[in-house]
Amino acid sequence: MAKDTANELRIVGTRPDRPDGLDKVTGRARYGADISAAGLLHGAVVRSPHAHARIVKIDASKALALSGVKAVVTRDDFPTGLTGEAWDLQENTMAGERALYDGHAVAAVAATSAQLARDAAKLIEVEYEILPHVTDVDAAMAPDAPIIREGAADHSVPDGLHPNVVRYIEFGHGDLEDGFAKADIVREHQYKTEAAHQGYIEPHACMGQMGADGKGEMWVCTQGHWYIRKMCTQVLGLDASQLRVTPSEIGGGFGGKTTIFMEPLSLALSRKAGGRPVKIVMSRSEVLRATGPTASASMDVKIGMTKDGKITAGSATFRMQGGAFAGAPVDMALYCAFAAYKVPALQHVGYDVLANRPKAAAYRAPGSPMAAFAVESLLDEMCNELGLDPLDVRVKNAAQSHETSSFGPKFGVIGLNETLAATQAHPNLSAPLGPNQGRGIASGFWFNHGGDTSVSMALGEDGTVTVSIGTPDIGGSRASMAMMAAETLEIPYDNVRVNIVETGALGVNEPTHGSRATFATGKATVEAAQGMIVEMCKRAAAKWGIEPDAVEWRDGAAHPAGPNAGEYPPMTIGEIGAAMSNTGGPIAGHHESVPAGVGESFGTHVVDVEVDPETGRTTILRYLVVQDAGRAIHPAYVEGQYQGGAVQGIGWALNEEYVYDDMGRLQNPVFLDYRVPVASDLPMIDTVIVEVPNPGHPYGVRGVGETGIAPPLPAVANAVAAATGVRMRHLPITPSKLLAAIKASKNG
Amino acid sequence: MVKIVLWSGLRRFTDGTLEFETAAPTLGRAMSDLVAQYPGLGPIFDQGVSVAIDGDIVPPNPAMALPDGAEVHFLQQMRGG
Repeated sequence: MAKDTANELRIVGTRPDRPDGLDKVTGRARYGADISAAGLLHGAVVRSPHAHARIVKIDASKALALSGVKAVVTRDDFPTGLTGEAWDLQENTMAGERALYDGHAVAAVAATSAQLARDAAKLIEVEYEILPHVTDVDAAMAPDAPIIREGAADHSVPDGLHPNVVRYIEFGHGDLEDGFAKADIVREHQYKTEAAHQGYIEPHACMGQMGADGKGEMWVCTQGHWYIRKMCTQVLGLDASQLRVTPSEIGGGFGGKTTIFMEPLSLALSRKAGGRPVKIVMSRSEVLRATGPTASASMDVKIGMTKDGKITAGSATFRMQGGAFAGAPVDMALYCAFAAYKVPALQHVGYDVLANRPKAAAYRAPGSPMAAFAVESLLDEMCNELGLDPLDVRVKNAAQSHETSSFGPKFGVIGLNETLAATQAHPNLSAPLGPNQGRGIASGFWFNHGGDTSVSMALGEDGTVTVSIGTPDIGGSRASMAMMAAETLEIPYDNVRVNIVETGALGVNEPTHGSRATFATGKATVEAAQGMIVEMCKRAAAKWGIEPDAVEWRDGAAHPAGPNAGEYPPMTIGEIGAAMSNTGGPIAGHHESVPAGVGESFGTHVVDVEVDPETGRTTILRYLVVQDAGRAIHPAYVEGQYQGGAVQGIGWALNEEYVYDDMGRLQNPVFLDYRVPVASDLPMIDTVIVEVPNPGHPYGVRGVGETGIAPPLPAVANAVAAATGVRMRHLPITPSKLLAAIKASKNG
Repeated sequence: MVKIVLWSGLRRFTDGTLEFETAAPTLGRAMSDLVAQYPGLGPIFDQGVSVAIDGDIVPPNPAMALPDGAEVHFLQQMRGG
């Protein structure tokens, strides 16, 4: 069994060098665009300039007449008859009868150079009939809103709603009326957030090769190459096993690289170009226009509270648009909305709404940040009104282990109490504040996830170990897996190498998403190591002529389990590896499962801001993240996740938004105008790792990647309210909006 | 016996009832029994649901045994991640 108490651990909880460090600082790491192959062609995509338009005609004759242009594909080159989510993926990959958003792909071309491909794309003539469009979620639900896709609603949608409402969510518990009646104050407000992009530094890039025999290869920047395989083969009508997908190094994903965009186009172009490999690298503008941001949201929240801060009831009605396809994370938003609280009566209602925007993709704790903004902002307003300490109110109402959650099932062991206590004890909470400065506090939640997981591990002839995993490393998982393998095998960290292997090498793996990799792949790694230990003990037992269960594993070697087993010198892992050809052959461990025992994670953030009353600019003075990690395998990576989540949330709160003109065209598709926070905008983000071990993992791991993006939205808004006396209920809090609100409050 | 709890949005398909007791040995049997009683649940279940057994959110494996005394929550399918 793995050692499971902190003082027994040798490697877990330490901070060894990261295995990808040298590659990344020397440029040796190979990202999506770094691949090349003999006969390589380059692809370019023709995209709709209209938010909603019927495609009347596509004429590629001028492009195909150029020397060096090898293939053009349109939707006519894709199979027909797909349904459900497979159809959605195909339609988003390449528009059929209609372009559904600004940036929607309508054709693609492959040529002998990237420049020639771009020139050829400009020569592909597309005739459009412009149709009415809608990009705002509330407008898309209005009775006179243009219908984006008739019949797209699923069985959950009650009669009488606009056809743009494609999914309806409703759940809750308790007597809402009674709960509000027991409150001393009941307050209700509407909150809005805008679509924000994941903002990964590396644009999407892939190289696909597909021959007439139906066998294909793909090199791609992704969080999940089995998803790429499944989705590409669905969209193109191919057998999954005939496409081998190899992941590149990845320059950020944050959920946005768990699906397909232009990857099937490279395969379709390759097939049409005689099997030559086709590389497609998106520009930043393409990334912002055509890959998944998260949803925009319009949310009504109502809460009842007693004078001493007890929450008696709550309701949340959320409307989210996730582009022209179902999939806005309104369900997850509602599940997270009140998760940090024990509330006797709750009602949740959600609408997933179509709009003429790009298909939403997952973004770090999908839905949770919006929900946190609405609920945590209203709670803060009510605490202010009642003169209550916002942290005390959170403690008073905190969700508890083994008690019913806001979304129905009972929680397992959770660490919210410990997180709140660590927040209360932190010195940032007592740092003095000056004029125009304010402090905001908010909590957040994410479920975390298990998912299909497959890991293999092999012993080398010298006793070193190779671990093969299928979850791309977006947050330090190679280091974490090596540490857990080394801890379990009781060998040095440097004796383990972890490789992220292609789709032919393991069973199916879900992507690195849902904060699952350290939990699920880690659990499978420990299981695989334990399997290998069993085999190594067998080899030693055979040599010693004793029963395998009379052998125990410790200090990286097989030992007789006790005096009755006989007296033999330990057989080290190196000796076992050196002898394995003569003792039964290769030694390996593997594990495949959908692991249970996922541990939820809560976090609380405290932010101090200063607002310039002359310009409306908000400056972050200090920022604290306190979050339960279960157990931090590599604390530096955990801190990095906390800091990264906080920074992305700060960007969402203060700067980031998709801006459309009245024609439904995105107005800020470059980082100059879509402004993410940079290092010079921010102080060092302070972190506290709370460790309430998850009993569902051999080392107590909880996922840590996502919770951290939820609290910043309300924490920043609460701090701005404290600094200015102005409550901003529509993010982002840009200087111009805040300045206008400050002026209005003074005039009003 | 096993306690089954449906999300409240399914009330319109179940004559208002959201909690059930069942002796079904497996998750699949429990679901098919519910559909037999309330056919409106069929398309919902076919479309996909999320399931929590004693608080642990697990894949809706029809063969999964339901331990006596367990509490099984059906949740509208979680799609985030």
